[in-house]
Amino acid sequence: MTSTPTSLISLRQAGKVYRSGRLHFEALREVNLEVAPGDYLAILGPSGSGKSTLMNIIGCLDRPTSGHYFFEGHDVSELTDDGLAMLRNRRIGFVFQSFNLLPRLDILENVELPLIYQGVSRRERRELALAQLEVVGLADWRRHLPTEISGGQKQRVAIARALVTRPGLLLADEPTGNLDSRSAADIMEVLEEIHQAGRTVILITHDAQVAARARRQVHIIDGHLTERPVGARPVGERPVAEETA
Amino acid sequence: MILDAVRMAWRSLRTNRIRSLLTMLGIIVGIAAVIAVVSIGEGGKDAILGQFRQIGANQFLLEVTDRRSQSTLVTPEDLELLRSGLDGLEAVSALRQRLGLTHKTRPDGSKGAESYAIIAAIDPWYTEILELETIAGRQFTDSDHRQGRPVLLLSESTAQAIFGTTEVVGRDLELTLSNYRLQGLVVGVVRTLSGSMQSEFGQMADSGMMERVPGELFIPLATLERLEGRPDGYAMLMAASSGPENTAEVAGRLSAFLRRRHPEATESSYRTVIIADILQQVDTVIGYITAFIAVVAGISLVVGGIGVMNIMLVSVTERTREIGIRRAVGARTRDILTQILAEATVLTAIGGILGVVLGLVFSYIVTRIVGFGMVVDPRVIALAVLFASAVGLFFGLYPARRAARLDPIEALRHE
Repeated sequence: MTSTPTSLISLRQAGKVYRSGRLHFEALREVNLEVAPGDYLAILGPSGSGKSTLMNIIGCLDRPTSGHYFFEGHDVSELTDDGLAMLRNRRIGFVFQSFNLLPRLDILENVELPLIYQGVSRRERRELALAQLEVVGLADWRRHLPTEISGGQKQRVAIARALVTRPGLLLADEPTGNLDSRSAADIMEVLEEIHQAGRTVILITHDAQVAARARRQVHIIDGHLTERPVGARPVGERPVAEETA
Repeated sequence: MILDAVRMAWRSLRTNRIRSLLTMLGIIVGIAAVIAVVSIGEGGKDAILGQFRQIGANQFLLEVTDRRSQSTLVTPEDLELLRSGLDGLEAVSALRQRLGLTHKTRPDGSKGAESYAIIAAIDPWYTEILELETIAGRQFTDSDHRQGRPVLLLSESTAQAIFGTTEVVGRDLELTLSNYRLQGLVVGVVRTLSGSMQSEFGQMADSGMMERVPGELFIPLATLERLEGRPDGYAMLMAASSGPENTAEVAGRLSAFLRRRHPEATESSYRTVIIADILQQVDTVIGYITAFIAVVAGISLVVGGIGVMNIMLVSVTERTREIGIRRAVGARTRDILTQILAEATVLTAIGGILGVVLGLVFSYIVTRIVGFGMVVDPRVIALAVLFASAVGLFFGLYPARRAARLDPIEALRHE
């Protein structure tokens, strides 16, 4: 089976079953999803809906137990652990709810981190990381530790780290979940800019207002994915987050 | 990549300075012990055995241990009889030692401070048993011995200590031996192969009240006897057998002969000491000490290694989330493995370096106090550090594999 050439991401009948002894839990059921390059997709679902499982699969942290997942045409279920690591390293940028910065490294070193695993030289790493920090407006904070900056700033650092390798996909898991509304609006603005710059963004959230910022929405409930009809709301107009701010 | 791993390891160890240092302790002690044993042990062996090594295996001493009749249990007549023929006995020499006083000589020739010197009065047979190497001048002649001339032989260190030079042939030296005064003439400078043996078996104790000059001063036995009179007996004999294989036998025959000549002597009146046996014993003791410390060092390194493993396991657990994050941004299992291994190895390598430094400092202090040379072998140092690193590599393997096998999703969820 091959993927649709135009798709960045292509899930075909993808399922995930967790087995633990006699227990048998179906987290994902026959999920089909196509994401084209440049898309801005929100995956909306309550907790326990299988949204994290889906994110782990899309992010190449995990493999489906049935069906297929193609990332840029590669069948992920055929890749080794090292192959998955390489894919995450070069093609996917992660942004987490809890930022996941390394507390003992300063801001610049945190942004450099993915480049270490590409074997990029120290000097080049510095330059690339600094350039990316400038994009998110935190170059002046480069020598500070993550504990010395605000939540919104932390998430900007995390975004800089996610983008420093110029990945094909930015995967954001509840990026505003730990932020106050003002910082949240700010981060949503940054994601919007990233999308505008032509990068593919996938947003995982339980918050309908956050999801509304995306160009496209899918819902996940009990492991089933349903596409919300496009046109149910005007695309890209009147950001909801700003209304509530 | 390795360099990055080492750099990361260094940072991580620096953040937990106290913990890192405590973890290293076993390694530090182990390596320090090894370095100290090698540096002190080799130097000590040289110092203790160096002079003795050249002594033949056929020499032995006979001491009179019975103090009451000490002066009569080996008489001059006994000696003459022994020399006229005891089977297997090649040479026998009576040795008398005195603690004398002399003055150091200042550069301008005037007398300086008083100091002790060990004076060995030797008969013509002495040099048949223990060789004296002539450095300058001559040794005692037959007429020196016959006439009991006031002539002196100095060892190099003695000459240096008294005159400040070894060019002392022809100079005068005044000695005070208990009640007698001797105006001596230095006729030669010699190197003794038995330096410390003489002072070891001499029966004088350093009082510590006055400085003692190192080495020995020799005078003919006859010269001493001219001053003090011929003694009724001797307290110590030096002897050589015809070959190393019969030394013990000849020593036994010698004491049996003396017991026959002196019915008043008891079983324990004579004691024979075979020099080769002493050397053997010293060698064996040093061997035991080295082996013991090597075992202690080995245990210390193993315990240290287990400590490193323990701390690395704790560290891996503490940093589960960090490992998850690193995996998410693209670290492969082998990157995590390398990181943890690098940390364990850098830890023990630093421990090794600190151990080497500690061991050298300790050896330096000990050798300074004891007064012999310290042997520093760069190969041993390199090997020690390398071995310490290997301990880290070995004991880091298990924690590193645990870390590398963590499931990234589980690790990311870890609080």
